[in-house]
Amino acid sequence: MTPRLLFIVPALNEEANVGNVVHELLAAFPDANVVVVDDGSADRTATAAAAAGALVLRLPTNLGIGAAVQTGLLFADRHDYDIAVQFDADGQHRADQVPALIAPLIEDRCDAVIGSRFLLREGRYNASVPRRIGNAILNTTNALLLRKRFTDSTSGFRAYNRRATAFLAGSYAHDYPEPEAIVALERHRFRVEEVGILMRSREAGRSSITLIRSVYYMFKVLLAMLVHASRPKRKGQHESTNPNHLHHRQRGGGGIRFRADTTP
Amino acid sequence: MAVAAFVFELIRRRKLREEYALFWLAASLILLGLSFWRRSLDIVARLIGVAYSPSVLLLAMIVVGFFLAMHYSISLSRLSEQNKRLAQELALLKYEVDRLSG
Repeated sequence: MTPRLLFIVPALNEEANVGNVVHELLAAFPDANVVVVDDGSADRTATAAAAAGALVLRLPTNLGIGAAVQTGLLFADRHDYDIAVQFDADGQHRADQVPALIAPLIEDRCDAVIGSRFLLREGRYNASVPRRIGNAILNTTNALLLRKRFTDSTSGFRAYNRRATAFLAGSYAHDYPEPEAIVALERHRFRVEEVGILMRSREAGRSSITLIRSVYYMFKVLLAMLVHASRPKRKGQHESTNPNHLHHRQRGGGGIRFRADTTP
Repeated sequence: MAVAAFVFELIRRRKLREEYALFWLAASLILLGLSFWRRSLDIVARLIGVAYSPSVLLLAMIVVGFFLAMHYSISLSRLSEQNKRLAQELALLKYEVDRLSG
């Protein structure tokens, strides 16, 4: 049986790119579904995505990329997808790299896969200097906290199996969550792995992250990573929001509590 | 006295929830009490070893202000988390509605 595959495409003002991205994904994976999470765009992102054949979730306000992706993960969790792939709307990610990304999940070698731009020799990604420094700091922090090396902690090209999806749908962080998600997953004993992938340089539009903001994000994410790491290691609390997954709930002694009928 | 009256008016207009109102009422009553019975401040100051008793009042206000700000930060964080969840649920529900109504 082939696994049910969902692409989660968070999009903020990407009307120029999102249609092509959806077309590319659906052409490469005709059986998969693409859900575009429109994070309160001011342009016609949602219309363009729907016209290209994507399912569209429109957030009423701008919640930030973390919350947008989480909305997609909630969708994946509730509609019982086996694998959720996070995929950028700006055309940076390549559909032909997806099989390599999800292979470890299908073979059940891990629960979450991060697509790294820096692992493959060919077509090495050219990042700007500040971006490199930021990435290096985050990677080093991850390495120190988790005693495991990640080369591309900020990569937004990643795939999750059901368990990881359910976990992140319940507790994903708010903003710029990629490095933080790795720490959270690792701390909850999920198997996280990196896979080398190729990326394109971006098409129309520019990155939503400016220098000052990225410095702010850096510190915010660093703090969040430290907080996650300072929590004790524990088995994942798979707080699925899917009612069929109630058996997964562990916190608070088993999800729904019934009031004991005490007779006087 | 004015603070107490102001707080009472806010509660009357339902602009303040009771749990917060209670705090502000208590604060205004304490201030009222101190202005009637000034020696109490000196007594407290001597108890904790402060030479200049008005500074006790200042210290108390700073401490209370600090914890209040902290409390608001926590409330805000919780509220924004709940707000995020609501927006997400709304997006998911909107999708279902659109799907069902074709």
